[in-house]
Amino acid sequence: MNEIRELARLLPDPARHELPEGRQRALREAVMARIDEDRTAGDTAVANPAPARRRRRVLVPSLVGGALALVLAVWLTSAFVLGIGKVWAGHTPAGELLNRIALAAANSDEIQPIDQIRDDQFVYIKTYGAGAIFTGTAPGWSEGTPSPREIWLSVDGSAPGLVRDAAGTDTVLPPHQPNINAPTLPYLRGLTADPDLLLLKIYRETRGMGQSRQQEAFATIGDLIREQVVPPHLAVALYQAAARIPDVTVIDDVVDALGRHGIGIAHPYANGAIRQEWIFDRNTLQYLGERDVLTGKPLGAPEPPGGSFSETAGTVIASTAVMARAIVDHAGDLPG
Amino acid sequence: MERSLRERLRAGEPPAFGELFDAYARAVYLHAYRLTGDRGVAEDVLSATFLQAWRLRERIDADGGSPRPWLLGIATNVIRNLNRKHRRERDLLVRVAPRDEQPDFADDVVGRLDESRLLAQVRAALGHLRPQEREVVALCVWAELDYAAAAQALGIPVGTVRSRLSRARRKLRRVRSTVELDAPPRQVDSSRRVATARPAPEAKT
Repeated sequence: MNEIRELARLLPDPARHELPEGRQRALREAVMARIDEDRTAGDTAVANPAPARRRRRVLVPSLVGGALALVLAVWLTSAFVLGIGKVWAGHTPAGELLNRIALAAANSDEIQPIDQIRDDQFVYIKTYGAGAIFTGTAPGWSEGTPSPREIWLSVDGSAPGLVRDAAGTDTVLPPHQPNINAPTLPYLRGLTADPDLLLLKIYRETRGMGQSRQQEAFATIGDLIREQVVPPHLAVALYQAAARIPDVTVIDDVVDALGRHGIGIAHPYANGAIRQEWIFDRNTLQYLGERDVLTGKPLGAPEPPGGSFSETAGTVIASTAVMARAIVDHAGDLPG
Repeated sequence: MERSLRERLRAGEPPAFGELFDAYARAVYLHAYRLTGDRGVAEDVLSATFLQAWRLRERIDADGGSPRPWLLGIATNVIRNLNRKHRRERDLLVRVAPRDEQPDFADDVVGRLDESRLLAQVRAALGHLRPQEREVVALCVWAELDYAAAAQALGIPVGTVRSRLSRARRKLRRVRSTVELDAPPRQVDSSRRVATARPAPEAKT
């Protein structure tokens, strides 16, 4: 153990604080509540109401959320009266491109007619790529090894889903209540097709998440279009909603994880240190995938030894390409 | 006869997970903080780790030693995959209570500054190591797992732990001349550390 002693001298433990007791309590409560929810979802496939205790807990936030929505609605309305909405909604290069993408989505025949999909079926999506890996040192993130990944999501969320990685390892996704971050097809069918109201709903449902509400809304829409089957009318609304998010830009040439070139819609993340890009086929405007790229601005990590952040500009730290999207009868079935 | 914690964890009894959390939240949090250098991220890792432990409960051996290596292994894996991708699973895993902005550890501004400076230095040194080497350093040196427990946590042979550690040591010796660490050497023993009681180290020039 001499080695350990020497290493301890070379690298003193940087943690000189404790997790504050109040935080530990709050985290414990959150974890235990989640476990509780998990058990309920796992135990009962029947549609039973959430325990009263939990229902009471969501009541207050929803009142606050309602008030916030009202304030936002008034603010948005005035913004539109002043014509600001128009600027976002299509009079920028990104807005114009997103409107064209929305039009293409409306006519997409990527999957079977959405109203023929049954609740007991599964959405199957195969992607290829790698997520960003947190390295802890500059530039802070690096790209993992790209690999295929398959996911099966219960159409109505009542049955367990499945994720299969490249090694063939399956992870079961427990049944869950649909929400904007884990939607089901019936849930998506029920969403408004009005892009302003939709964006408002996304802002409200993701309140407190992410680094800013715009960034979180962009990421939420990005997650939705990547790994879900979206009814065409809603896809239109989602792209039009994205067109209303400030700071969305067009990136001219973007390559997806499969090497396909396309045109990008981008939004800054991590105080501008990372650019999140959605990639579309230049001609058909069909969604190809997405990626995260370093911009060269400092990220919350020390400068690399003997280098600087600016040298990392353009480094891809995560990339995902959609290979297949289909509807199948059972989790684990491959499209025929 | 009372059933062991492991048996109750395996059976999926929530109170057992409460006990597990109370006993190991601190260890998991500190491990995550050392590897990520960010309190907020470390909290996310903490909750994700215990939720993952819940999901993986059936893999717990009914008899076995301390669950600490197992938890630190899960935490290390969570850190490796700390990405925004695959958010669907992450959302199923993590739902952390909102962070309150209260100052932690008794407004110890000096201590905090001191810690952030030390952290920056340690992390600069860590920059010379590969991620796998950093993980074994965090587990063996800071979390004080023995080689076998670290091997178990990472799912790798003991020999690999050993070779990664010696590689880390060689590299750090080499950069020692360029990286000056201000901190006093830390005692490696089995006694529990009281982190906040440490005197502020003197700054070197």
